Amino acid sequence: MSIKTRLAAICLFFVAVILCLAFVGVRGSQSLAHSVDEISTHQLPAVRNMTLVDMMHDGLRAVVYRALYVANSPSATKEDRSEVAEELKEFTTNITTYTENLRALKLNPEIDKLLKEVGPALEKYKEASTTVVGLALSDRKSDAYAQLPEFNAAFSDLEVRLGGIGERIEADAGLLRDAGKNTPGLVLMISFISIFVGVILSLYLIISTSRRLESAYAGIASVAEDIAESSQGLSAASQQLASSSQEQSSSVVETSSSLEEISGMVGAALKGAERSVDLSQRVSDLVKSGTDSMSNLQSAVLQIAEANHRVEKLAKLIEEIGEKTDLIDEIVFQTRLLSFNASVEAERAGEHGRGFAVVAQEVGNLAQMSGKSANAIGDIVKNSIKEANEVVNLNRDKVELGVELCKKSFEQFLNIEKASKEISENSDQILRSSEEQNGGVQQINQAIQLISKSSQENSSLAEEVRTSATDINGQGGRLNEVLLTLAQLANGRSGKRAKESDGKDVSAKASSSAGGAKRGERGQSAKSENKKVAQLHRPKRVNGKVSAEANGALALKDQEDPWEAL
Amino acid sequence: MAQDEVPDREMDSNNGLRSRKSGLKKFMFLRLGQSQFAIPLSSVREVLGLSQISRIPNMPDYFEGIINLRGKVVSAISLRKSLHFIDGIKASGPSARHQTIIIVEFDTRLYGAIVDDIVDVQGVHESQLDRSIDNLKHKDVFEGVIRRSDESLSPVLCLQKAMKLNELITSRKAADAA
Repeated sequence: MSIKTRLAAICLFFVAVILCLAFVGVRGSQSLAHSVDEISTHQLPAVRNMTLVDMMHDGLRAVVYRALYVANSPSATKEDRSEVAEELKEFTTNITTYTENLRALKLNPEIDKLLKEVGPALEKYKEASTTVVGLALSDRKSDAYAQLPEFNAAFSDLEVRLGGIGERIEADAGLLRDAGKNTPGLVLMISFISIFVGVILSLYLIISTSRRLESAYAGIASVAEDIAESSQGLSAASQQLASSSQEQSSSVVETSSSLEEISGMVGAALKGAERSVDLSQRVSDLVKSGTDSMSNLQSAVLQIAEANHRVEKLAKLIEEIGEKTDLIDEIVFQTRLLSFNASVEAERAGEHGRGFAVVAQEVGNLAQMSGKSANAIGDIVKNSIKEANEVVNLNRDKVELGVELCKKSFEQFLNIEKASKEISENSDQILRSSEEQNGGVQQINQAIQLISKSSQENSSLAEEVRTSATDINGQGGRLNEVLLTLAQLANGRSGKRAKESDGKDVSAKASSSAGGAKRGERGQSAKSENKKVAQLHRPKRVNGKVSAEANGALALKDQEDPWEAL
Repeated sequence: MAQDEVPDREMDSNNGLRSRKSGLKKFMFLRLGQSQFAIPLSSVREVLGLSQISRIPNMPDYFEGIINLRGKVVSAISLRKSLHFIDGIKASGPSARHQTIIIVEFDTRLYGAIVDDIVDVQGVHESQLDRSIDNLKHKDVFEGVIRRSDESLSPVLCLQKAMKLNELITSRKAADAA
């Protein structure tokens, strides 16, 4: 519940009480007025008429007895008789009139009823009295006396009835009086009850509200401290921000220069990429011609391999020739053997065999020559075969190697072709990328300029923040003043009293701190308070100049009684 | 050359073969390894190319085996082995193909001497024949030395001894006796 609603509630309560009291008073005075009115308009006429009726009633008896007296007295004149008759007439009329008046007042249904009931008794009484008077006046005394008991009965009956009505009317009047009596007591009672309830309610409200205010004050005080610290932090942060934004701007300048270098490099890269695209195109052409040459080379190498096969065949042919020379060799051998045998035979023949011996010798020589030639041919053939085989072997290995190498080279060339194609594509991509890069670097350049601008703005903003922090610091001091005031307002006590009350809560402490600051020199008891004060004021002091000034202002203000200031 | 020498041939030999006219005597020159030796042509019955040899077990190592010479069984003896002449060249060298058997007759029986090659048949003058090697220990194997026209020397072999036929024949006699 807010203080506002509490105050409103208590106001409402008092308004209600006042209204109640006013209502009761008005009602009382109204009923009083009414009673007065009733008394003046009804009761008094009623009482008067009643009295008159009673009087007429008694008067009628008096008239009756006077008539009897007149009748008895011999000195009675005619005038007396007429006077009695007149009185009778007057009294009967009057009693009727007064009764009518009473009835006309319309006092009370009960009374009305009684009045109605009294009507016949009255008529009877009037009749009886008229009869008695008539008899008495007409000198019929005995008749008159005879009628008297009846008359007395009527009289007493009427008297009883009238007496009842009179009592009734009196009771009415008493009722009215009682109605007027109640009002002051009621008013007093209501007033006492309301005062009691109001005091309790107000006490409760005051205590709870002041507690709430105190706790709120404590909260605000801590918040104010926090604000002070925060503002200090903010100030430091803004200084840091300022320095960092300066650093930032210097780094931005560095970045800008680096970016220019990068831009130059990117431009160089772009040119390089263009060149590499051209180069890769040329390489791809070269590789294509190389691949063609390679396939030509391969077919040539295959032809060489074919030729080598032929050489191999040739070597085989030569080998066959060698075999043939072996045969020749064999023939030569056999021929020589023959020639030797011929020589042997010639020797045996003695003188006759001499010619034959010569022939045999010749044959042997020829065979020898043939043998030598065959040997030479054999050697040549052997050498040829050897050479051919060597050539063939050498060629075979080399050619196989060549074929293999050619194949590999061809594959390599194909790979190179593929790779050069990829290189070409890649260099195209590189070209495109470096173009994009160029654009990107330009964008970065613009962005860096923006950053530079914003870092300058940041710098100025940091300055503003710093001044704002200082302002906040000052406002924190002012807030402290306000808080003190609020504390006093909440507590309803001056710092002096707050100090004496042990400083149970924060607001008390705060106000006591204010008081303690003022009376630091007072002594031992004040010193312990001062410690609390120091504790409370410490964060504020750190806040620097502004808060110190605020404290000064606070101390100055403390010289006067804040309650009075309020 | 041979034609020139032919008229000068003379049969003159310890074996009783003498040149009839000018002291020329015909010799067959054969080769064992790298060396040339000579034998009198008159001691040769015929020459053959090396044909199939049937090996005979339990014989001296120089006894190579036996061959079939037109229906006759002939013992074949390796001259190199019988002479203990191993001239650095193996018996089955490149010249093995040209190995030749010289058929000789002793005591009406034929024997074959295996040589590496037959080089020549030449008539040799008496003056070319030097018999002054009697001081050698096994002089009975050599009958002398022929000085060739190219200054090389060719020892003249006594085949019967060189082939150690006596040992073979003795052994045969012993076998016959047994």
